[in-house]
Amino acid sequence: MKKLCRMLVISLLFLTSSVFAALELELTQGVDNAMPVAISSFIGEESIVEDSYRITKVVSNDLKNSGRFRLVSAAVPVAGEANFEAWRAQKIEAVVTGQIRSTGWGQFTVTFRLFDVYNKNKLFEKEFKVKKEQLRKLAHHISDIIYQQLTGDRGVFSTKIAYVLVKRQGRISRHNLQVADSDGFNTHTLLVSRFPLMSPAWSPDGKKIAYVSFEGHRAAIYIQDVATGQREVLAKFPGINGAPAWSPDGRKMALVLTQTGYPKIYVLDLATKTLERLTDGWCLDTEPNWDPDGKSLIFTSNRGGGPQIYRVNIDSKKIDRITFNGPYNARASFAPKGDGIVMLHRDGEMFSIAYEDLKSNRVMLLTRSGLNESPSMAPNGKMVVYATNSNGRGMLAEVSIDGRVKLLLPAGDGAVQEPAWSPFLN
Amino acid sequence: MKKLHLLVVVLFSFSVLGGCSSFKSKRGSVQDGTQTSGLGDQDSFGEYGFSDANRLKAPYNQSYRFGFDKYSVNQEDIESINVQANYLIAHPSAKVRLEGNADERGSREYNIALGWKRAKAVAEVLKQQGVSNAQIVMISYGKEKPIAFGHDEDAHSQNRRTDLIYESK
Repeated sequence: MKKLCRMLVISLLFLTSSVFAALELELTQGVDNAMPVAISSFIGEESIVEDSYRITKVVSNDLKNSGRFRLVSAAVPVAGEANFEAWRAQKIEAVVTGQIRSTGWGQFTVTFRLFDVYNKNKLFEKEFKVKKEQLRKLAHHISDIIYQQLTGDRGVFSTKIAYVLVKRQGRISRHNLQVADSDGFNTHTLLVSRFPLMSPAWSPDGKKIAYVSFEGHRAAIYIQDVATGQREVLAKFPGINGAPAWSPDGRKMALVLTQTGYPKIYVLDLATKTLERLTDGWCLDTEPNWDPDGKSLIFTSNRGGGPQIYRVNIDSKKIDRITFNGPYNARASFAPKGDGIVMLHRDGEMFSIAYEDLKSNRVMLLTRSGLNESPSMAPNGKMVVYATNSNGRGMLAEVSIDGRVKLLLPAGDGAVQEPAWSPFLN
Repeated sequence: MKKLHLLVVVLFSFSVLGGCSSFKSKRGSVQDGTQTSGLGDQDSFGEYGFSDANRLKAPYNQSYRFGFDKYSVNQEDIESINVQANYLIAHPSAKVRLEGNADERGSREYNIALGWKRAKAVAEVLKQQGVSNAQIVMISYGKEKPIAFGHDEDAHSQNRRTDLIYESK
């Protein structure tokens, strides 16, 4: 019983919300040379399902919002077969066709084909059997396949984004930990609190989220199961319990504690609960993030005056500074391959999202206006989601890692902050 | 833009918490703050925005401001902090919570660290006067608990503060 108490298992009765979008994706800037792609309406779709489940629409939005494709219409023969000569004349590079058939009992058979116009071949063809409520998920899966076939990169249309939604009414505030599909649809609320919530971090398998909650006027790190809503307290030491970061193997958590009187980086073994302190001194160390190889961590420290990013080797404890550009660099996280970091970079009165190539130490600003924060990279390393402030209202935005594609995700209600992009799921 | 509100009903079942005294707060709620009774709950989260009327009386909750990029207590606040310190020394069972805060600029977790420095600065003054460590709880809200919502220096200066709150008197 005592152990159960310590674990603080809270079961949430779960919350299915609708397929409506809580965040609206608006492409504000795409690439100039976006690839022209045509998606013909899936045959049989109109008569079977309502709008929000229409694969054609979901896939079209996914591809359009990736910023890398320009959607054009194409003439497709009735059978959904290829018409290469006509498509080539229209300068279309790829065509998607499909068909949906009801097989009764709310089940559907979906086929889709992807054609490469210039090479006159069928790149991909597959048949799926799904329930109606899986149609949207299947559509994102199809988008992932198309994206990978056409760009060579893995798509992130089936991933999710966790974020904190804050609603204020005078002095009363409500803090919601939300999880939504990467297109802003299918929102779930994992926790509602009248105390601040921050720093959500996905486990590498995408099944759990660690976060900081200040309930009861104390900071604590919780781990919550995304599917069941069950949670437990991971760290509730006196003082700061902050900035949780899962190790790449999911067995350890880096975090910030103030056991020495100063915020320091610690690593907690999740199985043995062994705690190891990696940094020391009177400076402020926070925001740890693991190198994908698991051998070192980067963190924010003011040991040199203002906040900069440092790297600590876990075995040797040796510390190296890795940012040198500008007076303020913070909240850094690694690109999936470990060859670069995305971070918050102060640029005069602006806080920008920046990418630093770790080989050349070259810094590229991905945003150049306003107050931005909390960058989180998509698992394919191609996009960054971050929090921005537009006319005093907190919302999410996305930018491609080359700075060329930009999206805004305004929320219908409240201020949105602290986005965390999930790893690849399943 | 579509404004489709989701009716999200969150029901927490606290079944395993029965008999778990460590999670019973004074208000009798469970792990206060996270049960989701909906927006009808008028219990405001923060005891903030304190008036300065009782600066030299104790026990009274206090709010001490800090300058831009400053982490040491203002000279004008020392007298008030000393009054609270004397009360705490005379009442060993009394306890205060020091909540450090920062303005809205910059990274959230780094602001937690900055707010911590401000809580610590007030704690140091209390301890120099002889207040026991056991009577002081320190936390930092960083920029998560603003009292002014503007984006100018006036709002920023109100948010750079340490709140001293009596948890028991």
